[in-house]
Amino acid sequence: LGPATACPDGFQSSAQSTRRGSAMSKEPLTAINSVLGRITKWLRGRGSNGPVDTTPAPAPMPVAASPPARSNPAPAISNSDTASPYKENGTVKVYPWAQSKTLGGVTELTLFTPIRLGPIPGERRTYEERLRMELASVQRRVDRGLTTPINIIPTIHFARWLILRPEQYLQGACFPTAAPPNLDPYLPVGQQTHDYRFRSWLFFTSNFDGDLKDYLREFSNFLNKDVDRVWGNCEGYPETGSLDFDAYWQYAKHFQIPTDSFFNAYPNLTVPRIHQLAVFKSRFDAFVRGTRGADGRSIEGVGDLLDRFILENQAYTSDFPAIGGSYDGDQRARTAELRKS
Amino acid sequence: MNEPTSQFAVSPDGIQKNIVRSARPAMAVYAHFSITDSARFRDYIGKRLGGGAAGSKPVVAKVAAGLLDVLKSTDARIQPEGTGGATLAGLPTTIAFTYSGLATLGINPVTLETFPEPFKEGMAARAHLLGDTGESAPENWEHWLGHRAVHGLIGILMPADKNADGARPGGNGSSPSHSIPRGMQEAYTNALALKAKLTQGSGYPPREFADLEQVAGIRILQLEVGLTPLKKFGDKHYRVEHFGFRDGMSQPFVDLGMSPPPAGGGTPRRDGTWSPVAPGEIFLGHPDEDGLSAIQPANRDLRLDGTYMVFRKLAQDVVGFAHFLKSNASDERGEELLGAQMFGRWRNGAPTVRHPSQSKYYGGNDEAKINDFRFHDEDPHGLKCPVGSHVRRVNPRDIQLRDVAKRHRILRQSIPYGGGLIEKADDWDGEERGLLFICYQARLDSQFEFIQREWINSGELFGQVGLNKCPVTGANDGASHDEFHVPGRPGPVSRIPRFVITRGGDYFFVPSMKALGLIGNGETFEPQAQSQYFQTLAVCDGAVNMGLDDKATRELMAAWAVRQGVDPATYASKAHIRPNPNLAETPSLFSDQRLTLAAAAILKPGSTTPTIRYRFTRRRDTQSELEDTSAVFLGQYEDVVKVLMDEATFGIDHYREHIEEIAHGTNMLMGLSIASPTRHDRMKILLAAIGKVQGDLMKLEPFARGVTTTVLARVLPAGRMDIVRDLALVVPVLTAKHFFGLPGPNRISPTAIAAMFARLEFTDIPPDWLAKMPAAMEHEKPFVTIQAWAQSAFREVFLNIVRARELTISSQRMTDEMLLHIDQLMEEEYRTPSNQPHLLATLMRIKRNPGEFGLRREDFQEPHALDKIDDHIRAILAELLVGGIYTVGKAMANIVDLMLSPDRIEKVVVDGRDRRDGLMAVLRECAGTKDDTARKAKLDAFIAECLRFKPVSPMLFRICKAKATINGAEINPGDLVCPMIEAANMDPRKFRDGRVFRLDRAKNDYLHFGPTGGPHRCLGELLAMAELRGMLQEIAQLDDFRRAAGPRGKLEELLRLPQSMVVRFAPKSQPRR
Repeated sequence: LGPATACPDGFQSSAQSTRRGSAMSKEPLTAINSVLGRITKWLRGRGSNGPVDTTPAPAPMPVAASPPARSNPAPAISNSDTASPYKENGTVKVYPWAQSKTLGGVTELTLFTPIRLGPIPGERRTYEERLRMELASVQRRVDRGLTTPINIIPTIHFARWLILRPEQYLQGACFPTAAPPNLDPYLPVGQQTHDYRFRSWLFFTSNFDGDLKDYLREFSNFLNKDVDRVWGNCEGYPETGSLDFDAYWQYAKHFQIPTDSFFNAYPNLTVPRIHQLAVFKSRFDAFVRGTRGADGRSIEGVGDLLDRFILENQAYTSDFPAIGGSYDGDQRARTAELRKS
Repeated sequence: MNEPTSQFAVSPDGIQKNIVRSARPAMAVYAHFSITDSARFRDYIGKRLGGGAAGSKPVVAKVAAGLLDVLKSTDARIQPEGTGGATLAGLPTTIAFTYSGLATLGINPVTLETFPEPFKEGMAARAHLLGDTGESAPENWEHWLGHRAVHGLIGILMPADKNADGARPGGNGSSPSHSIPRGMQEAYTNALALKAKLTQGSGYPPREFADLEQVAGIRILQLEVGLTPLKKFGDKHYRVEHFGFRDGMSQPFVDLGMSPPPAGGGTPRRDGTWSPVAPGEIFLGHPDEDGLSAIQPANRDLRLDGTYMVFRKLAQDVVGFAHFLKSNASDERGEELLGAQMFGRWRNGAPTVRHPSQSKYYGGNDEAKINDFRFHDEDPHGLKCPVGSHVRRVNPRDIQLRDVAKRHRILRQSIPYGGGLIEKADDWDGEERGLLFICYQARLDSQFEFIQREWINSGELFGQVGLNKCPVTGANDGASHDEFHVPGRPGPVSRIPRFVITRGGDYFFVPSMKALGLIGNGETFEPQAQSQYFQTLAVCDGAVNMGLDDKATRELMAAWAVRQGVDPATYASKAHIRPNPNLAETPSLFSDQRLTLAAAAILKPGSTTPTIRYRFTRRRDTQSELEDTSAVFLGQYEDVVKVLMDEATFGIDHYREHIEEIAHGTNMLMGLSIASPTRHDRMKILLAAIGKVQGDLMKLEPFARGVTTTVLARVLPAGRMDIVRDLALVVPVLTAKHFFGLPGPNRISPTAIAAMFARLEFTDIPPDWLAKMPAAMEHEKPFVTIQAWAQSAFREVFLNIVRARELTISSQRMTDEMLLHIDQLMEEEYRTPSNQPHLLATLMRIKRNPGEFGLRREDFQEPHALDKIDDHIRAILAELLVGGIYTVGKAMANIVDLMLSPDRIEKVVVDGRDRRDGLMAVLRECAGTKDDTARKAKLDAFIAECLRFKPVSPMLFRICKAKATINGAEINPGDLVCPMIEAANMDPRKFRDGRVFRLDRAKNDYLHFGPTGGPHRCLGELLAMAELRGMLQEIAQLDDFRRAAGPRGKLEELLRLPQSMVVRFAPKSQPRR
């Protein structure tokens, strides 16, 4: 399944249409069903490659209809290697993907993904509610100092998620009618209905060491369940989850948006290197401390201490993060080993 | 922005001038007060301001002894003296308010909202920025410091006889008392005696303090007494702080037009002289160093000439400091040198930048020069005065990289506390020594907080990296990286412990004399639009609108509307998305905001919407189509009772479904309808068992008291406990162990650990994550596991009404573990009977021999009930764990939370009397009733009334089974019906004066165990009440019971279940009685 064939029309068109904020169909349910039918057909056709997430990922439920023919389509570029296909009026049109900016060894990624509308099957909450809970749970763990899945990937300089609500992006927006749109899916009976034209978006941005594809592959390999729990709430997310890397790659590239200006304080230092330098400094301080008496003068046997210091500060495997992403700054295990030798 | 400016900007009479003039009192008393009657307090201020003669010179000792009389006396006037500044009984006085104090005074809420964040949040909430962690954390602060109940502060400054730095001590020799300034000993003793009465009295307020409430409308919560010790250097005595260093020498000189700036008192000029500090750095409404004036708060009268005051009680480890110097130097001279380098000055004040190796005495004519030095000019690399030394950090004078010093000025008025100076560590008398740190500034965040955060507690400053924290006042903790680099010393001084511990404090606003007068007149200080930011100020959903409703946007939109052919007027006013968009929350069916609004609409007198129906779409499962469904909120008392009483129409099948889903088909009574034969049979078994253990259950209340006593014995010396973790959840877990025979397992539930990391499987957790987890102590494991099981199942059954799938799955696994554990306990009990009186043993006896309990096969409705008795017993035990732990825990947490939130209750009326002394006093009275039956009844009434305000389940859920009509609204089968208990508890149709706390309400009106006579009235009522009574009776014995300051003092809930809340009380070495 190469990138060029991975995306059938249904998947892309529904996503694309919502992205452009196209007008809502007069009969949303009919439209939904027709789009949904196409998506499910495509997804079923893919079969299940690999294990499925324990949390059942429900089928996508786009509410907006396919877009009307655009009067002024964007210029089409045909490049099957780097672009995503988009079928409009029977012809395949290919739009360019956004490219990450890189500074030194650090690359950025910004994803702007539409959150699914409507309720989660079997539950009394919307996808957006579930996403909020999930992000809050990650934050709670970070606040409590627990290691989180983000630690598992040692190349992340920073990552940030936020949900952009219509109330936020519509600030000061103009509406031709006197009443502003209703943005609440739970309505007291008798009031206007939920305005599905305006949806919430998940905004994700991250700086990391190395190449984008490697980075997303790490997501796919090591964090697929966590990634699914977040982006599984978004429109068009592959049902096979991020474990199916090709589908996930198409999805991510499709919703990547370009960065206008990118700055990084450590373009030439990787995250493990920064950790290692910090640990080196603290070991150096400990070494100096060990060589001094109460009045600050050196004690006897400094030569042996120096040998041990040098020995300690060769590159060791424990200078790199463990499987779960934690660093052993104290080097407890290795110090014990050194003592034995 | 257009404040008046003059050459000498601060109007001399405007400010509370003692801030500047009386910066160095010999003694000071700071009374932290709470306003109990805001009108009376305003009146008090108004009557005592202005007019009246200044009176004769006060006798300081008498004022200290009779402080309360002075405050009460009508002769004691808070008045502008000839030169401005408040005085009280002739003594310079500072009057300042916290944010909660200004709110209590009734200042306009919008104006209040425009105060800067640090002041609004208070010091305790910003502890993490100030390095106040560990022992210095707000939950450990002393008494009422940092507590929102502190509304303000009256500081009375007591000057020394004469000559600020020339005052003589009362005696000779080296014992601490000899360093006390002459004439101050008596005043100091008197003030301490008064303080002792306040802190040692049992029950509040002590009699001496009580009538102040009548006279001034305030209650004094805490007294702090400062006293400056003196120490002789050369031929004169000087003020020192308790580490033994001269203090308060350098002060930013504010341009008041009175005299030219002294050396070192401002910003250095190129020609070697010093320019004064702009008044706007300290006083609001005047130009600061950048020529700008403060615009917050948005009322000129309130703002002008005001300033912010930081009050911080800092304990100094005098002995520890002396020992540290000793162990890091080889001789006495080395100790002195190290101390001087850590401070940046020698003990007598001589700057090390001028005298790097030996002290010099600046006496007589040279005294003026002691401050006339610069750091960067004279010692750019810190070779003489280390860059990390205390004085260089807090007042860097002439940093060349960026001209930063002048933007971070504070005007200090600190005063030591704790008595005379300890000259030698061996002379320590056991009294804590420290500093009442007080400073004034125009901006809390970029002045005091900046210095504390960036210069004292950060290693990266002045263009240098790795300076670590201030060696004297930094938040060090003896770790290997707590180092201080001394020039010329081959290695750093390391493992610096924390010498200065924060005991508490807060941020205060010091209004000008004029504003104080206006407060006395009842002014509320309406907001004034003086800057574009405040033009459209309006309180909107509790937050200030960010102002996209500005003129420019309106004009643009109107123009656009004209082009579109829409009426611009309607358009401009209505077409915005207005509610505070920067805080846009994800709409949720059961959000607090929605419920609050719904309850308000439902309860309002003559409400046209007694029920509110929310319509939304739903999918039953992945295969099914979208369908419309409804949730009906109802909150009027009669409607709620009607729904809860009518099980046939408003069913509880969803509880059964939830339980079956997590417990593999096992059923519990709480999910079985009255008509169900299973329920009938199980009740039979349960009642038979209870009949046998009844006598034992009577011991539950004394048991709960006993557990509480044990818990309190452990926490009493500290005067602090987590009411949720240490008590509210412990009692029900131990009850389960001793009365039900259900001890927890000696391991931690793997699913609970997985849940901590938001994982479903234990095996999904990388091993290094587990390695970094703090190991639970062995005896905690059964607690932790039982609590995790109970929490998960309770949440799933009663709270997961949105049916969040991930919670269900996690709960399934926890319930698996729990049922397996119960099975093991049952099996063990069956094989080897324990002959205990608890429920498990009794139930197993029934299994062995039902006849002994009078149970016959034909008594049961289901034919094989006795053959399936294992299932029944397991279900009964599981239900007790699920239903018996978090209900009691949450009830207890809610009761304590309510007792400590006086603002939720309008009035407390007991026996027809208006009780102003609060719920704790009422509880103490109930618990102190001698007669057992009467005490029980009173405590029950107390608990019931508390739970009326803050019920355990604010909302219940039913599924409509047949068409019904409630208060005119049609309810259809399938509708989710949500009776809002919390609303019904406040329904004025049922409860007269719903916001009044009273103990004489009809017992049968309360809903927290379900309506009286209803089909699903709580089965555990008697048990829960016994446990709550037991806990509350012991809690009632605690003095000074209050919330901890700062965030830990708030009731923390996770998915609506209590997790933590730290409370404080008067510490005691032994439990009472």
